[in-house]
Formats: sequence, structure tokens, C-alpha cells
Amino acid sequence: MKRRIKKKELKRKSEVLKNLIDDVIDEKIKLPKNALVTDADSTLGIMTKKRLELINTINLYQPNSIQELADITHRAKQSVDRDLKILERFEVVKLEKEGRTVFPIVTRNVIVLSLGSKPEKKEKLPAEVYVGKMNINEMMVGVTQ
Amino acid sequence: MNTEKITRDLTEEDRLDITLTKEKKVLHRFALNYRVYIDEDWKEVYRVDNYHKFLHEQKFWRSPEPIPINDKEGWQLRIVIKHYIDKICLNFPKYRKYYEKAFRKRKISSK
Repeated sequence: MKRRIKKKELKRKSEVLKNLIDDVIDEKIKLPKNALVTDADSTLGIMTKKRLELINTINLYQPNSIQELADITHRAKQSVDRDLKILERFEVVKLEKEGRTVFPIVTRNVIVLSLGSKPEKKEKLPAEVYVGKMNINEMMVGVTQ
Repeated sequence: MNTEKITRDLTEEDRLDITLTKEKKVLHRFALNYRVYIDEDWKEVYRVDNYHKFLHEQKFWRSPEPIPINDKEGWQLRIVIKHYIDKICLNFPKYRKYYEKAFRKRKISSK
């Protein structure tokens, strides 16, 4: 069942995004091409150790089929297939078709993890408020390469 | 002029694509594109942009026909973007519901 999102959470997402847009327009941060900006919540649910290993293996060996990928990773084809579908939905992997064979390619090598929004008023705030300040160096999560 | 594309996931099945065309910190064009994951595919639900030289929105649960936005024509683009980011972030569950309803209806009628 789909989780109902609280208005407070929606507002927070909007604030974070607006600050990010400001920083991109003002060239305070430089995001990678076609950056996918995500929350820790969704990333941690998707990027398991085994899925990260799959992404790495695809980049490294460029397998010609899902079976080949399953063989390289010593995993059952069914579970590899399931993981690839999740990664495809997350738009990190694309499943290309060539005749009857399906082979995976990695479409995004970097995802950007948003750690929150910077405060509106910068003056007279205690130092710890800045802990969650968006910092691109802290936000970058290298998936592969 | 350079174009930057950013994708923000709102939930696992809701995404907002942001395209910004700018030159030296000045924004010239933008597009906000909200899409959802339905039936194993990403589908466009709502879009607002000022490409094609005028500000317009598209509500895909109704039709892909662009609806001109005249009341914000003189606004600064940065303010327009922020206004529509707020609008999309606060209303996307509603948009999704409208789209799902229209999608099911279209699917039934095309059978």
C-alpha cells in the first residue's frame, strides 16, 4: 500500500528543491550531467550492497545478457532480473533489447544525495544548524567508477 | 547558453525533471516536468515551461494541449520556477490521482 505523504514533508521537499535551484542558477554548485537528486530514505531502500555490485559488474564486464550477468555475480537469474527491474525503475540501469536478448546498461554513474536544506536566515543561528547545510562535496555519492 | 537537467525523486514512483537554460547566472528558459511510474513505465503528468516563447502548462490527465499562463508573464523566471516547484511538490499526490483515474478510463475505453 502506498504511504500517505504528510504536508510538512511535501513542504520540506519543496524548500530543499528551491534552495538547490538557487544554487544551480547562481553557480554555487555544479551538478553532474543529468543528475538524479534523491533523499537518503529512497536511496537506502534501493541501493543495497548486491544492487551496487550489479551496477559495478555491468560497467566492468558489459554483459550481453541477464544470464551472463547472473553467472558473473554467482546469483540466480530470477533475483538478478528482479534487482535490475528495480534499478531500471530508479533510472540507474536500462534494459536494452536486441532481438530476443535483453542486456543491461548503466545510465547514471552518479546520484546526488540531498542532506537537507540550508537555513533561510543565516545570522545569529547556532553553529549546529549548519550541520545539515547542503554541501555538494558531502552530497555526492559515487555509485560506480 | 547552457542547459542543465536535474531529476528529483519525490517518492519512489514520482519524479520531477527540471531543465534550466541559462547564461552567466541568468535564467532564460526552464521546464518542470512531473511524471509518475504506472504500468512499468514513466508517464508525464504535469508540465510547465516557457519554451516555444510563452509560459504554459500541460495537464496530461486532461489533454496534452498547452494552457497559456498569462497572469505570470511579467514575473521573474526564478520566482515563476519557485512558485511552480511549490505547486508541484504540494499537489503531486493529487495530480497523480487525477492521472491514474484518467489513465484507467482511457485503458478501459481503448479495450
